[in-house]
Amino acid sequence: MKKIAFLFVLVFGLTAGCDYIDDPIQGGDSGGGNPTDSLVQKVLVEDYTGHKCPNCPDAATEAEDLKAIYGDQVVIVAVHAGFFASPSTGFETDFTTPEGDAMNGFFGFAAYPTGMVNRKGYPGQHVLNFQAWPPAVADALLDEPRADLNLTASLDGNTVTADVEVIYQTDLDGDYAAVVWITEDGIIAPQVYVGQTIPDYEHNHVLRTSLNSTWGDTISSGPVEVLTPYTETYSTSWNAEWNEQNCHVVAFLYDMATFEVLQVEEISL
Amino acid sequence: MRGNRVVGLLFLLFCTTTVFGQIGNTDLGQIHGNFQTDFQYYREDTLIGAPDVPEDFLLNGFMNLNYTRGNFKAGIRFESYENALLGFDPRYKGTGIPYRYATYTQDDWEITAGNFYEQFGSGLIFRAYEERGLGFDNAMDGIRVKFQPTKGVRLTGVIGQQRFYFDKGEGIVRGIDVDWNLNESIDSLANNRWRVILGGSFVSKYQEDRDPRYNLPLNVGSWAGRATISRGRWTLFTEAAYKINDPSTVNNYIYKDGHALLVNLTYSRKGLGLLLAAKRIDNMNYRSDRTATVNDLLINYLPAMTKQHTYRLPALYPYATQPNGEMGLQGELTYTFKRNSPLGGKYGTQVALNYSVAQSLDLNPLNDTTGIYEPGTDGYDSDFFSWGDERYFQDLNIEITKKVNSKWKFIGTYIYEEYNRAVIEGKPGFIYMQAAILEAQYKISRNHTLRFEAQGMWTDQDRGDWAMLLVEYSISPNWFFAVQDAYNYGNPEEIRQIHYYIFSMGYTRGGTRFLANYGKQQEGIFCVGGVCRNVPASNGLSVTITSTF
Repeated sequence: MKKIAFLFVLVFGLTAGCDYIDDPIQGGDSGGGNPTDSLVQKVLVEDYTGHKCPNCPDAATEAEDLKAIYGDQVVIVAVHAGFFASPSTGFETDFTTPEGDAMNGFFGFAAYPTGMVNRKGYPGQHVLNFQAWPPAVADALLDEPRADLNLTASLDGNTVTADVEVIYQTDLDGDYAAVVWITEDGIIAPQVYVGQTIPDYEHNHVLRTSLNSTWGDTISSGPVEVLTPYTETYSTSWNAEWNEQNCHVVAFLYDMATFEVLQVEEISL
Repeated sequence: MRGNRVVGLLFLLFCTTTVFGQIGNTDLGQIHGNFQTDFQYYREDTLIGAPDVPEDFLLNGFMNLNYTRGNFKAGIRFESYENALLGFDPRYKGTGIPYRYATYTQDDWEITAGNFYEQFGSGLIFRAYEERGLGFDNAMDGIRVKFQPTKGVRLTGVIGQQRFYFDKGEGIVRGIDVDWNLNESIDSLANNRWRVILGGSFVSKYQEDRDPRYNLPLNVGSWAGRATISRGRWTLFTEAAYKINDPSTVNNYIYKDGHALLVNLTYSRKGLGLLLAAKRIDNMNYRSDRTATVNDLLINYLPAMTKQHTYRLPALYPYATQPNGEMGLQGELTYTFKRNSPLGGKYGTQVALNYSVAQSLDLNPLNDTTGIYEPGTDGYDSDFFSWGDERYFQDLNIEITKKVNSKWKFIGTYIYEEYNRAVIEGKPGFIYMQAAILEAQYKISRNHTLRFEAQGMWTDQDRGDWAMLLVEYSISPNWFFAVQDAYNYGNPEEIRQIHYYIFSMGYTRGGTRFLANYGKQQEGIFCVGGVCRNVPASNGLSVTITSTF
């Protein structure tokens, strides 16, 4: 009987382990990206946030840290939606958009800050706490680029126009759509932050509008012609309250069946 | 399609229940189980913040089916969230069988394959359990072996992954526990007045490291030792736990080890009960996924050391253990003044006095250049016996229960609370609250009872003062009807001085209970580990049906 007990302890005891870490910080250069090479996989980090959400500034910092590591390979968009984003006394600025509200409902965000990394894992595994973004971004960057996405944009009077070119790099068969957004940096407005309100918080990467609705427009349907350009032009009205100098245009290509983002691009307006 | 298969399987199981039982001398085993469904119809109410629910109706439901025959036991739980009720995590979505198990017992062995719940000691390093009302379920999916090598000694070993909504967390949890009852084990101690039970556990989790910033421990081990010592009316329970470096979301990726200590001393005799408890928690958030927050993938359980108030108004400010660190004390005295004494009257008088406090740890920087909780460092130093300056929570309450005559019984409660909203919810502010509740029961006749509650809650912070009245009429054993109104008359925003009324009725027969509520429920905020979830206000009709068979 003692032998059996010993065996029991051995089996369950030895399966468990402990790893003590002496050097927590990774030493190697883990990124930096190469902004001149468009044929790299880029990653869209959607940060679902709100100006009354106490922990959302930490998520914004996490996203910026990732951008510092990976450079232009990481594209951040802050989608203000949900309970914490609604305007109220002291928080009058309305950062919400109809597109953000629709995505917030569709993807089922209920806790903030949370977000998605290339919208991977839908359904069920797509909503990620912001602390889960670093490994998810690292994973997504390992994907072989399936499409090259080229983007140009211009503001002419009251109209902003964007040209999107998609060049598939591999055989694909399905429905793929492109979405084009305008984002704005440097908006100063109050933000709750763990136990306090920061009156002059700088809101960056704020989603302002979509040039082609919430779910975008189909770029290709069925088998694709590899290395052949698929091009579309989109435009929308400009809002005079946005600061052109601080705005970016973000375009991404996604699989309409899985919602996974294949490629994303960001340029200054 | 998946749903159809599940319904088919359930139908089959129901049909076959008639077959089970005893046919002649052949024991075909037995099926038992329980069922619950919560259904709610929602109406948008912009004034209280009740959102528009596109589906109009939401539903949570589950059924447990357990089959037993001889030494063999097996079961499944069917769950359905179409879609989940507001306040539940929307990742509970759809229908399926997330819980299934088979257990075989023989001699000193018990082997379970599949899902199981288990707890080592008080749970400081391992507790797999469910709180269905909160939508919490961290059931293990793997193997559990229990073994009794000798009288008074019980070994439990577990290996598996934890439930994550309709999926599993990626981490693997392994553990072993020993429980040693000295008085059972050692014949010479069998009749000793001292009773001693010792226990010890070791738990470890494994998770891959794909973080671009830090070198993370793949295996995080923890261990705990415990003792229950009793003599006569006194019982002392203590448990201490230790966890190695476990950088995670909740502790801001610091590499400090974790500690926990619990001490409970109780005394009880007829008419008198005394509890003294103390705890120290230091960096003991322990999950099978280091990025998990809120209630997701918790391996351990850090017991609350504050009274959980159940009356509707004081329940607005509940306290939850802060897993990153806290010191806590609780004392409770329950005394019954004897019958026919000056204070006891004809039926005796019960008094329960309870006090609890939770305070921060005393944190000191590691050196002049490293900030407290700086990621990638050991975080901080903390003297074991030293208390921090920041109060998280304090609660002093007294409850007096008095039966006046055969018709009337009263319960009077007074509560004073200090609630650190910034720590508990992450929202600015500190709330000082007083509440007084008078509950009265009037027995009209043998089967007819009226119950009244008058609650007042006063605070200068948050939503200000509240008053509540409740009247409940019950006809035992089948019916009850109730109406209540919580009025936020002191809300600083006049437009939000709202009546949150609820009409309720319930019907019970046999093992089945039907409960319906119609009215408005106020919103609340639920925050753990740096992520907050809004439990929205709601307005509408809710129906709950429970059944056991």
